Amino acid sequence: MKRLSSLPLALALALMAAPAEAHIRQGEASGFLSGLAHPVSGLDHIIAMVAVGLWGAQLGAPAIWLLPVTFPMVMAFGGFLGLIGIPLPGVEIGIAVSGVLLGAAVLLEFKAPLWLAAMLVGVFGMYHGHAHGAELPPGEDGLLYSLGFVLATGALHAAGIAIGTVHRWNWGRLALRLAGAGISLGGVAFLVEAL
Amino acid sequence: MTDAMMRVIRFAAALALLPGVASAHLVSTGFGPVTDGAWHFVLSPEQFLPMAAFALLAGLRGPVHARQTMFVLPLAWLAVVVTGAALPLGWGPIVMAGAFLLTGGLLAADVKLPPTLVAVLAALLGAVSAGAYGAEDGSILATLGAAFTIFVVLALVSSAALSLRGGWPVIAVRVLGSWTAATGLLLVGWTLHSRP
Repeated sequence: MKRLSSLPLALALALMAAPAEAHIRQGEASGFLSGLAHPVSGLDHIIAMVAVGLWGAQLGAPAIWLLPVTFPMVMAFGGFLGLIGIPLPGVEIGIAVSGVLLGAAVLLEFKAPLWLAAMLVGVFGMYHGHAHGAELPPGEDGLLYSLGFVLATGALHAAGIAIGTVHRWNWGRLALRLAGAGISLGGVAFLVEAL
Repeated sequence: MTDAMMRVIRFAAALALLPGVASAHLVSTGFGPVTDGAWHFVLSPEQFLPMAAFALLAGLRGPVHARQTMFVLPLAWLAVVVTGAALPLGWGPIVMAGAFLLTGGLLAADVKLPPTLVAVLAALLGAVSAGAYGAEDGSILATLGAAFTIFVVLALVSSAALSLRGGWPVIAVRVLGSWTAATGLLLVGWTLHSRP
């Protein structure tokens, strides 16, 4: 029966296959998969979003669930600003700094008060969302694209939280801090590039 | 996570991936207009998702809220479709984006709404959803099929939410609400971005 439980997943994967076309559509926000791919298209976004989950796991309740609830909404607000053309200065720098600071928070196991953690994550979420919104190519289906986009963002947070569960063990705490150091160094590299 | 929960998640993922690009044409299943209407609703995420989010909200609030929602929302939807009322041309996408934003926001914040207000919001959601998209082909049997499916979806989703007893499952539902609201906010931006 365990094999049978995988049937819906296999069916879904089979249905995801797009029809072969004579022309490759490049740069179009054409649907769910396009939206799903967008947040994972840049390492600078990935490390920051995973860091949010890692930091939430280190902070424990209520931050562990409050941060993933607030981040998509603030990020979507940034995306909304980008979509309607309202500029946000220093977006690339803000994204790089988010990697540096969120990585440092994980490295140092920074026990920030909830309001400060939410504010930091919220501000950085807006930068990430704005970059995505401003980069959006012309599209066919805004709803499916947006759904894919939000699901991918949530999945990155969930991955961070899942990895962060190793925090209960001593070796896990050390591994998380090392991961934080790696994220922070990655942020520094992106910051140098942005400057 | 239990095996049963994993099976439900896999099945839900499969269902979520099933809808293709939403089109303005009625689904033709070959099983008659009632089934066509039912599948049209199920395969229209712009109608299905805000209603599912609202059912979760009503279920979290309690049985009175859930019962009101499962009757008021489909009846309001049916009334608007039958009377042929529609939103002004071009207003459908922005209004439905607002519906995503409002229902998702209320669910994410786990707002303690009184039953009367939930009933009013359910009626509004049913009415605007019907006004924005309706039953597409005007067939009364397809309309009834869609309305009955709305009732069943609301009953199933709200009863699932009613059975939750706090803790992680409720947090997961609230996260779903934040994703719904975030989708709505992006849709508002997308709609404004697409306007000439």
